[in-house]
Amino acid sequence: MKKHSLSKEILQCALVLAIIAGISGLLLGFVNQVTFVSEEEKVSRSLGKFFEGTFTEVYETEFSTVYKGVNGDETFYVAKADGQGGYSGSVPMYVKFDGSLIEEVHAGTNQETIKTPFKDDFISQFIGKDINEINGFVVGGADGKVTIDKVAGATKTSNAISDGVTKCVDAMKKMTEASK
Amino acid sequence: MNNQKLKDVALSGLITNNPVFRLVLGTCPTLAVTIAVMNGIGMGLSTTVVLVCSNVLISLCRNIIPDKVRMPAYIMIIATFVTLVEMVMRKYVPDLYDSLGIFIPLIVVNCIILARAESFASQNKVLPSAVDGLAMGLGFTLSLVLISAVREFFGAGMLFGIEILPEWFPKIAILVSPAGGFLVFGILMAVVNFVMAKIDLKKSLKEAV
Repeated sequence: MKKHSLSKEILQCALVLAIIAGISGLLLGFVNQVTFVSEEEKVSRSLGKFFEGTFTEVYETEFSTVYKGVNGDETFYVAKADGQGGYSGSVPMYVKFDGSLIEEVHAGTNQETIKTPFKDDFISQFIGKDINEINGFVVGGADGKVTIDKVAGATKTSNAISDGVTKCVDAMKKMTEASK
Repeated sequence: MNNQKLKDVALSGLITNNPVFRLVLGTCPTLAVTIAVMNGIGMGLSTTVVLVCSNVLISLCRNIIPDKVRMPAYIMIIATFVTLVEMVMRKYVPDLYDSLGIFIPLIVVNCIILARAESFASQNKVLPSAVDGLAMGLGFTLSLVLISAVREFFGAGMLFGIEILPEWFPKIAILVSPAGGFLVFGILMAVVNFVMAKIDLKKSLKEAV
């Protein structure tokens, strides 16, 4: 008798949990269908904030990705990389290239609290540089890289931005070499 | 439950039993996401939605769920709502979703939600449970906004991501670090508890007279 009531109780518990799990699964499956964000949509969302056009991934390195953008008659390349060493983690950086020249530099969503390094004064140090003539950027200068003047009081953020742009430049150079 | 009791439940969640400053629950997201006011609002409202929905459902199912499996059942219900909120945020507010990062899925283990499910929703009817969830959620949101406003303003000279203080104005950089989070949290908690103690004292003096 006791054994019978125990197995009934176990069955009841299992049934209730199974019903909750089943309903949860169905609900989550439905909402996932409605709110699903494809990789293409993710890319066009993140790049679309800064650049107009449609994008396709054309090259990938360990640290960065290069996309080919088409906007009407214009064809251009944009590289994306996470700059490491920021005050609050990584800083996603987007660099647009006009041939071998750096045309635009933008920072994606980040947790850096001091925003001064994202302003034009600091960012303009990267613009117009020819990637064939440089070996990346570094705050303070080292390793044969282009010297970047840091923003006082925001050394880590300045480092992260330089790191991200350097990775973008590196990816673009590798892609250019690979396509030769 | 009459209107006065519902009002008491609402006031309890918002002020007298504020989850952050009075019950010291949900401290992990409180310290982690409060470097910007927008993060505080996002985290607070996400938690409020989960609290209201899970409280309502747990209250509805309180007579069906066997006592021995109530915890796994509550966790499954809470996890479902958290995942729903996460999916909706990923689709419609991707920037906020990126900013809050891992702390969105971690709402599942936020002790405010499980505490309200266990101590309130599982013992009360649907309406008071919904009011309790809403009040607790809004109390949590208010606390996060207060902490993040102090940290963002004095630590970075900004509010809602807009620069308020001029660049030359000295900022207290430690406030945006984890240590600064503890500092602001402690100071605000002391202020809130001091004010509450004064109010309680006045009330008890009035009652004595």
